[in-house]
Amino acid sequence: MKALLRGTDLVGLPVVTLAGDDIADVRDVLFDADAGQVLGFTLNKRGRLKGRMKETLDRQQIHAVGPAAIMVPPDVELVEQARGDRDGSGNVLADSVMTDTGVRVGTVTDVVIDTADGRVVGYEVLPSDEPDQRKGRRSYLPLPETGAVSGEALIVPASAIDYISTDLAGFGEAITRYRDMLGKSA
Amino acid sequence: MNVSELVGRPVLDLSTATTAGRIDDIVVDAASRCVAGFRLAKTSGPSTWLAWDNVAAVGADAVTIERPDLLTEEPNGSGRGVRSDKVLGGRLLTDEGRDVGPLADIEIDAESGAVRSLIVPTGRMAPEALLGIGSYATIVHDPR
Repeated sequence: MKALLRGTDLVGLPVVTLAGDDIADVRDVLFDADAGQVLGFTLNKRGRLKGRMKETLDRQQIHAVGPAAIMVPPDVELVEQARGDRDGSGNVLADSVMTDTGVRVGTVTDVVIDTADGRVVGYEVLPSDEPDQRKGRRSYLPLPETGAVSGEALIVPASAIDYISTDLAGFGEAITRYRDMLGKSA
Repeated sequence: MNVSELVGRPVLDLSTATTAGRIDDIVVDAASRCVAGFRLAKTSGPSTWLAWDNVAAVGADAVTIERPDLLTEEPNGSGRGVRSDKVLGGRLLTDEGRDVGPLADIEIDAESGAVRSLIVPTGRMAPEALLGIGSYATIVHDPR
């Protein structure tokens, strides 16, 4: 089973060493939209003196990403990042999602991350045309393993539409089915 | 025996047959998965640390020591106190970042001081599961 979390679920999680000490809070998720990969996290200080830390946590330094904490080795050394580097290659939130057949799916409200390897496996989207009773409800759109092209809009294969899921719980299976289908047709 | 049962237990000095203090806290070292020693209250002198190696016996009604000078100063980095550092009843995380707590109690071997099991909401965990006891949480191997 895939353990899927939304990017915003990770914001505010404590960064805890395997020795049991908390060293920071997740401020934001850095990710590479073209590679479909989480690069790391920017951090806030813990406790009452909250504020942005200069150091960031790199993906390679992470032991595990869980629902209650980001686990890191006890001897982790946070490295200060130069300002330009740490914003990753882009913020996809609020971008439009278009299929390669030219249909607008909606706008991105969050990214869905497979916690096992930090890959972005899908997007949470606010659909652009929904019946009124479902207004405001989010849908989950799977991504092909190769990632999606992002520029003015995110372009996804039209076939992904058939695998849209309305809840995160069933989404892991939808991704597996979608990628199986892509594998067979290739 | 669970460490919570030891809280408040008198420490009996066998050379004078008097009470040298009472156990206020039990300090567990996560690296060796053993009790490092006891922090005492109500001692007659300034020394409030009883290292596990200086204990003569852990009995049902008292912990005994051979001589009063076996109480010392607590060394730095001895471990975490299960009460003062809120290990018991505190946060329990797996190395996968899941919250599986709280940690209810720690079962120890009264002879060796070794941790025998961790008592958690879902049952017991083997001592090998224990990875660390820190200021934020106790960390265990993910059982999944």
